[in-house]
Amino acid sequence: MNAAVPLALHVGEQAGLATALRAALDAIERHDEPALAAAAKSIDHWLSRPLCRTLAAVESALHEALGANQFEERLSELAGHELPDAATRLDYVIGLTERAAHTTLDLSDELRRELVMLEAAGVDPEQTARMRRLLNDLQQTQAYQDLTGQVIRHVVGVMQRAEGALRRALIAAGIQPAGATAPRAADTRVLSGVDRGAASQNDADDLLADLGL
Amino acid sequence: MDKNLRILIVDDFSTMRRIVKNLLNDLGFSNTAEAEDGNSALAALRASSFDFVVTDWNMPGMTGIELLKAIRNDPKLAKLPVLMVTAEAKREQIVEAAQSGVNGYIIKPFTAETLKDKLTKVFERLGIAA
Repeated sequence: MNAAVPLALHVGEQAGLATALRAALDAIERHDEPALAAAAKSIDHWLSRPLCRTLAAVESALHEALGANQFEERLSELAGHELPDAATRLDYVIGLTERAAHTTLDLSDELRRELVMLEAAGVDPEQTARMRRLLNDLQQTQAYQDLTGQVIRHVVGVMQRAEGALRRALIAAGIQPAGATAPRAADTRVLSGVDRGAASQNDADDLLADLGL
Repeated sequence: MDKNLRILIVDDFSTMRRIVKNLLNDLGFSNTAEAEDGNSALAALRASSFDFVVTDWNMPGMTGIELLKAIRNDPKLAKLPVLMVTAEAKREQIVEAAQSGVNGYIIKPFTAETLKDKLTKVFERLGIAA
């Protein structure tokens, strides 16, 4: 046979219940019906306290369950949309810095050719030597593109592996990762060059002209 | 245009401040100062006299659009021309800048020609001889 279910009353609640019980006993002895009704109500109140606590715990557990659901949605969005999108942005950075570095190298090459002509024209050798050093430094500095590009490619690789693992885990759990074309949140930034729907200088000019600027 | 105009360049990237400064120098404007976000820009504008502001949008601390609004809401600065130079290319943002009283909007990356063109337009509209 099971033991009786404990009332699970806290100390203060036990004292409250004892007071109510004494009041009820007193009311019965005095044949005081209204006082007995009040005492019975009070007894009810104290006995129902543990039940209220249980309900509060159930409510909190429900909130937690709902939170877990949102967490799944976050993971799905991350694997299906945000990680691939972030990798695309990093590829854009590599491309942009690469083009800029090449342009700098092209321009300094052109200056070198000019320098050869200056040397042939008999310009102060000390001056041309100094210019050559500066041009060399300029070219050397472009090495940053190689170094940063390598770091970015490494990070892209890590992100792609994380994305793959997350996708497999989600699918194994019966959750379909969000599509790559998931709608963009309204507050997301749109950057020129990297985002679809980015306004060009011409678009900006037209918009401003329409607005009277 | 008056080559002695004092211009404040606001951008959180020192490289971009340097590029804008060099471009302005090439155009004959050598009286420039720099600030790295809206807060320091606003402090500089209130501390001394400037004729023109070139600002980025996305900066930590106070953004360019917040700076623009603060300028327009300050009776002493309200008429100061502001040119936004930014990679923010969302139509809503261009509209917001226009509605907040921007004088010009340049999308990064930009050319020296675009900067010259927009500056000339701003000056023309303000009635400063180009």
